[in-house]
Amino acid sequence: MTGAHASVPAAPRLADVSTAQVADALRGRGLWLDVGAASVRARSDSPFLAPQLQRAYPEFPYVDEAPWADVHVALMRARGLRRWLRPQVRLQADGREPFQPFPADHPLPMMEWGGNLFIGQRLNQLLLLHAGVVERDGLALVLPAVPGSGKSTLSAALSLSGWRLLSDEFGALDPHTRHFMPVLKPVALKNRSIDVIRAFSDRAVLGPTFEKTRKGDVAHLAASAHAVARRHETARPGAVVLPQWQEGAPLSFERLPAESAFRALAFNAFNYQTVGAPAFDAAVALARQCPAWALRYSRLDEALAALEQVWPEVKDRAAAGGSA
Amino acid sequence: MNFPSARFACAAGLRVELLGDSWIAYSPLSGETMMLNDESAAVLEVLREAPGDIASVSRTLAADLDADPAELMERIAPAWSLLIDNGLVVEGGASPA
Repeated sequence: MTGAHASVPAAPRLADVSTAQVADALRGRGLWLDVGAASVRARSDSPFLAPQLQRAYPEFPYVDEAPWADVHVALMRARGLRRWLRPQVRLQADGREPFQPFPADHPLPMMEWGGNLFIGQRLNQLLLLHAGVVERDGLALVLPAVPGSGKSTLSAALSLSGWRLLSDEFGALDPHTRHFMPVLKPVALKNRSIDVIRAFSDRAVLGPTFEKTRKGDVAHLAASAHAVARRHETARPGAVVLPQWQEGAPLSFERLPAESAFRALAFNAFNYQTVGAPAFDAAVALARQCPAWALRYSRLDEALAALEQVWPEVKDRAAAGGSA
Repeated sequence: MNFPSARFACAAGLRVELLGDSWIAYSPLSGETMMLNDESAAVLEVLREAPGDIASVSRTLAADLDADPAELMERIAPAWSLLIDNGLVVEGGASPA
């Protein structure tokens, strides 16, 4: 079961309500963020979280009561003497504290990492590939990659270039319908990617930059109104592209055999072992159905142009029903 | 190489798929996914039809390939061990659906 229906149609956008109202909700019953395949309920007594959420999730509906959430997180100010010396915030979920405390003014990155951790552990009705996913023409472009490959940066650039963002982190594939579901969270950009995306498009809506986190500097790209409005719309598999950003590298875009696509999809998934045989079947079907490429790039414009060039082939193949 | 003479079969629910030029197998028994070489895939194909031991599998493959059963047994012996160790083939197991 998912919280796909947690939103209220007439709810105002998070950006449209006052910060005080968001803070009140966080201090009270909580704030529900329906990200498509999952719903996250956040509670917090941190004065920093409300304005940060409004910048990272501006287009999401403001919901302060809902019957269900897949993930419940609480971001609470640390107590004790140390709070006066070094204010901190802690993340709690299900009686657990999976991370060491963060600086008090960093609740958003902590919530995002915690939310991802719990989504990765909870949504076992879906095969959760470690992949960015964007959509066009009803077809998903799946970008499986290990951390540091430029997957989030490429997902962000695509989302600012006419593609609908489903996720920069979770390729959430329903193993039965074989469709991808959005897990629409802000794209976590790190270090140089922040300025790269800022320069890439003046439509990029970025939240505050959190400096010197455990992953370096981090800023979150907000999902567009269009992507948020369509966060319950699935996408059929279209193509698999394994991205690898490499500084100064000339563009390389090579076709991959289905076996390589399978390896990248299955062996890099969050819950392949947990989902078991349906995950194997779905990954095989995906590798068989989708053309796959390895993309090495240093320039986003070249990478996007390469994807544009092959997209007609992807559409044709999907229209023909895919083939091995 | 000596192997016990017990009969073996594919693990229940075993999946074997050909992707491009590569065989991929999944055993619900162990939860393992394995890339298979041709010898392993051939062994599984024979055991899908009927349980057997390495000698009977070698004889079947030898007949199919017009090869010497003893040579084939030597050739498939490493695959045989790996398939058992990884839960894709089990002693007295049921044939797959």
